[in-house]
Amino acid sequence: MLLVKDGHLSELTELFDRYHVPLYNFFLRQTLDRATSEDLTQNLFYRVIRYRQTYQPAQGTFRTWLYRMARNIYADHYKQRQKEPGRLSDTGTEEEGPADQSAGYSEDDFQRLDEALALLPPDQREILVLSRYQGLKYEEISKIKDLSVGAIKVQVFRAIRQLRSLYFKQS
Amino acid sequence: MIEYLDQSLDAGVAAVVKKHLDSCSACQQEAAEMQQLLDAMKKTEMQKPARSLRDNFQTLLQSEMNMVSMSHLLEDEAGEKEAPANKTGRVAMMPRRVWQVAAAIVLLLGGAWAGAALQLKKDSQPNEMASLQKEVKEMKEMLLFSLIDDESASQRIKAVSYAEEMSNPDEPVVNALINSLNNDKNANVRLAALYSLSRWADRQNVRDSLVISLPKQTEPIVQIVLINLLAEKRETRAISPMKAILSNDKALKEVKEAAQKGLRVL
Repeated sequence: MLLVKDGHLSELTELFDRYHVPLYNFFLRQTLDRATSEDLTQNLFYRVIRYRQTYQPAQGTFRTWLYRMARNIYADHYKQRQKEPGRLSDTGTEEEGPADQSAGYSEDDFQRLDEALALLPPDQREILVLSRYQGLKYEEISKIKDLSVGAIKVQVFRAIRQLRSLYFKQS
Repeated sequence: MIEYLDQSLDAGVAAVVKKHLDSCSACQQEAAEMQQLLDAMKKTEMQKPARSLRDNFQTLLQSEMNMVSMSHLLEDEAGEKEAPANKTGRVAMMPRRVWQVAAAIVLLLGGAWAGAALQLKKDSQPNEMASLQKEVKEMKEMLLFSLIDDESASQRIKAVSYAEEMSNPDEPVVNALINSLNNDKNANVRLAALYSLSRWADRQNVRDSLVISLPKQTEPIVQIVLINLLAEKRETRAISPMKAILSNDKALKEVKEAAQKGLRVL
């Protein structure tokens, strides 16, 4: 990223290749809408291009910088959605394969998990996406959210407990 | 609890937790259920976005790179004006000219490439992108028309570059670009307009305007880019204005060379 800042813009392609799928999934888990998530991802990387000069390595890694921006973009999107309700999210299915079924979880289990996740309050859903689906470390999330590591741990725990009660209540 | 399940606790603490779990069936069940959820989340595979996402990103990046090159050109131009006009000035300017020509060619190639990328995207994702594209297009058109008469040359460059990002510009946009190409007082704006127009050089009205524009151009860099473009498109109507350039005593050597090369192709 430092190379990019110095004007080696073409290096951005590599960063895009490395991060666009996780970030797309970060949006997808929260919006449940492919087209919207692609738009938001596009928007995010557009900001990376435009605001590349504002990246400060002292404040964290490129990854945490990226997720901070992603959160802001999602927050803006969320606010806008609240203003114009009534639009049903279309979960268009595409040719990409669903989660793998080999590991003792049926398609149905994953479906129910997704449903339970969707019922969580946005904050709790987000922390699980970051910490569990995206596999970010507590330290990274604490940088992204400007909270202490301890506070993040508590949030993750509460979110999982909430998810558990939603998930097992269904069945 | 989570850290226990993740097996990231110290052995001592973990042993205490385990001891409790062994004796408390409620906690045991909770732990088992949490474990199940944690595993499921871990095993969930990521979905892949549509391919157009990457194509769009490349287009955005390319246009940003072009903007950067363009602003460098602009800075150079400003530098030239400020430099004292002494006798050696003309000589010193030559390498810069050559560099500008090279940059212009890079820009042109970039434009062609971005055009191809956009075309690809249009073919592969017709429905999904349609509404977004329309929205973006309208926004860019608005920006274009609000900036194209701006005082500052860099704002006008920005305006004509917005058009470059449009996949299928309307007639008023094309006309505005042609107007900039022929009449803008700044050479870099004319060049940027030409660069944007080059993407739609296969449209009949654009092609006609480019042919008409060639004899009007006086700035070497615009002339060269235009000559190269028309030669590449095998536009035979450009032969006579190119010959006129060759026989013009005042034309710069580099321009004549480009015309000569163009004529060979045609």
